[in-house]
Amino acid sequence: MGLYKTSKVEDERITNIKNKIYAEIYILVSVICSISFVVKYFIYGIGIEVVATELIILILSGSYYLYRSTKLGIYSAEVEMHDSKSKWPQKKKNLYFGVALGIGIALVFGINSAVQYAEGVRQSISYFFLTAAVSLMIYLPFFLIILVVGHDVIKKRSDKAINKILDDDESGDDDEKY
Amino acid sequence: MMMTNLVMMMKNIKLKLARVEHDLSQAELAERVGVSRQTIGLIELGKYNPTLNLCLAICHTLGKTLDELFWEEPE
Repeated sequence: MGLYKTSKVEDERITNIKNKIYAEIYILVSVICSISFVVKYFIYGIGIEVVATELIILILSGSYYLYRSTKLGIYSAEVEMHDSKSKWPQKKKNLYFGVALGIGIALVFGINSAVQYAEGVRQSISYFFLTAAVSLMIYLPFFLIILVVGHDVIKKRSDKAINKILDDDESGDDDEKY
Repeated sequence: MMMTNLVMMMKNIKLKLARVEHDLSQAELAERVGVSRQTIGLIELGKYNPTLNLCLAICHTLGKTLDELFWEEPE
């Protein structure tokens, strides 16, 4: 005779709603950090020390999600789901996004250099092309490595993690019809 | 049917048999249901408890009832 009722069943509704709220909190924190980042840029100008906290929050939370989703095998499942529904595979999207990001940053730095430091039209043009070309050489490979090679590495690790969980099947059937 | 009995701690052999009956691989069933291959694999292994909606989607795809695929007698 127990005084308290014991049940193996958790209230899924409460758990799911709590998880939904946590996900919303993550988005809220990211938005607040991004707004703080932009506001500080306009008030104090460019300086890594000014926005270090915001950057750490954004990078660490993103990295943690990536780490956990890789460890639990969700990353490869997400990619498979995306690729089965989308016309463009995730890898191709990452490639184009990396190229666009590299070109975009090179253009921003080029324009910034031409506007801030050059005197006269000729110098502006030469500063623009020089800065843009150097930025492109640095940032294009950087983003391609992060987005394309990084994607491949993470997907392989995620595949390995989920296959390890699925391999627990004694019959060894992880994607066979029989 | 009580939700308690949908909680699977053991392998779901019934689901696997129904899938094989329809000559479907995990990936093919997953595509028809609209989930990932890994999710179907984990349900068959009893390592993931699907929601009622997902159970229904699987049942509709395989032409089975909830009882036929997911019912377990209370301990």
